[in-house]
Amino acid sequence: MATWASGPAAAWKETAVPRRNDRAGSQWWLLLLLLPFVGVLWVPFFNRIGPELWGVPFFFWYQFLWVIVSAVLTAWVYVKTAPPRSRAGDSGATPQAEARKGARP
Amino acid sequence: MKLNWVALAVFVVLFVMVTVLGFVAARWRRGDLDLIDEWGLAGRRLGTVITWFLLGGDLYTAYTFVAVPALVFGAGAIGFFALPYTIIVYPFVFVVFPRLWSVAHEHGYVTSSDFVLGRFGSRPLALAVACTGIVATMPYIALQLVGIQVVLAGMGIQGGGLVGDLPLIIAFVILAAFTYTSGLRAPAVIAVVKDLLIYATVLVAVIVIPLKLGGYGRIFAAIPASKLILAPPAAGSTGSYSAYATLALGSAFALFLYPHSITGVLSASSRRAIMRNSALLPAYTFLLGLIALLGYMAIAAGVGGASDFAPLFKQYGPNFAVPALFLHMFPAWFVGFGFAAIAIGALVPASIMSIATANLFTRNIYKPYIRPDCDKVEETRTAKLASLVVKFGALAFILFLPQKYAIQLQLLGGVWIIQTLPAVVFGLYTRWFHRHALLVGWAVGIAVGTAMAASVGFSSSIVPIHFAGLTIPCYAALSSLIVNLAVAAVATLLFDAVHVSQGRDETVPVDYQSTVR
Repeated sequence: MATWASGPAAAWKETAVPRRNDRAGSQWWLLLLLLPFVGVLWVPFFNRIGPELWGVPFFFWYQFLWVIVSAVLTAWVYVKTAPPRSRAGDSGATPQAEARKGARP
Repeated sequence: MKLNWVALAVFVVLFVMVTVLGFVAARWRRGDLDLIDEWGLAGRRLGTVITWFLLGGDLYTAYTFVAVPALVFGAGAIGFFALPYTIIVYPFVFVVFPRLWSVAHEHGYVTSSDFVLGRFGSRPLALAVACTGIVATMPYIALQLVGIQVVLAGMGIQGGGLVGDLPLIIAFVILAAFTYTSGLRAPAVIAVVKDLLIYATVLVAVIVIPLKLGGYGRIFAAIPASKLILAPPAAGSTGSYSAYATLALGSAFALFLYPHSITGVLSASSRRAIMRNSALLPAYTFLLGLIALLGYMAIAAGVGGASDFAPLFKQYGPNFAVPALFLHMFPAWFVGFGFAAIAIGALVPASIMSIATANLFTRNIYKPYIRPDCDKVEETRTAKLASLVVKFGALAFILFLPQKYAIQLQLLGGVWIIQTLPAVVFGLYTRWFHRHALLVGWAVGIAVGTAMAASVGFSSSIVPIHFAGLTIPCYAALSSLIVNLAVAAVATLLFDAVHVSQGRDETVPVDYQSTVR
């Protein structure tokens, strides 16, 4: 029977192949991606008019600000967690995947 | 309203230009268009930049650009849920969808239903996912036509009979023809032009209109307090707060389950392209927020009270707010430019949606159930024909049925498509759920979600839940998804307890991490 063994945590361990610069624990960066959820879904916090910015109520500029913050966070997490690019180009093949290819007839 | 010749001329020139592009696109990065990977996924070769244009053009549809400011114009701040919705969708996509890309790439999956079949070895479950995708997308295609219809009316083309509908029919025949010949390459190429037009239009609008209206402070000062921010909830209810948050969360979960989103994801050349786009696509979210503000600008400009717009507001409701604002604020040539941006903006998603539903029909209904021995060329030919059927179905829908049915069905579509989340998204991580349990959960979720929408007369997708003396208005998609998951979990325990076969899984864990081309 299948189990949760292939759950999210395990999935990210799969990527944690040995690398030249040790990035152990890099999957923790993913937790940063929870921040936008908290930031824009807790409505009582930002459902207000003041403080205004250039005449724009808080409700609006706060959410616009999160568009940028969220994009920056995602870019940061990408830089920190994406597997290093291989010399073969954009493919950035992981050793497992290469091994799997090789194992195929 | 009189025919606006200048606007129409600019509009037609731009429209003809993208039509030509649509046909020429077949030659771009040429591949064998008799193969479904080439026709339906553009050969899975789209890099980060083209994927950005394609997904941007695909997800932020013309209808979105009309309907979101219309909601802000008519209902106020609740319409801004589009912002949190399209903020949180990307962290979700960043984590989940590279896995789908990888496994699809390893096994040649073209649709989400292909994946579900491979992962769970369950034909009924794969069929359920395919049918949900097709049914949820059809009204969405129809609504793209509403976007075209509204701008055409804004230029004085409307009215009954075949003559009034002719421009819409022409636009759709063009769309059908270039999609048929060029496949996904057509919207990929057109999306670049469309997005540049949209960005240009919106940037001009959000600078020039506030200048004319005396600045953003003046605009917000003109908005009635009831529309400016959300109404604070009454005692014993979470009111508009939970409505706002659940709409955003539920819509975010649903968005990338739509077939056209998955087609966009799978046509990317690498999983990196998807991860990068999760950080780059918020540029469109920012744009959408600016477009939402156009709803407030329309209020401040008082277009709702202008007598020459009254008949069109009567016919199209708040959906006419943005066209009215443009007609009120801009010279005719720029009106034509902006309207062309909206109409071309309808072509891109309509094309991708019809390709995606055609892929689903061919791969997951025609091949397994009608012609099991069909070869690759026949598969692609069937997909091309299916894309025509889907589009003309959508056209007939808009021409012969009241618009409100399309809108209500699209609302329901969101409730339906999210029911495939346990199989598709959870399936990317785990096979803990039993395949039969997922099917039971899906069926219960569809039934409960539809019943919830029916309980408010299909007029809204926000349905209050009463829990421990508290009233929680909640997006029906999200509440029915929770029911779906609960049922699937309980049913899994039952099926496992009586040792019903789990089915064969043709994938292995490394498939989900694979980056190999």
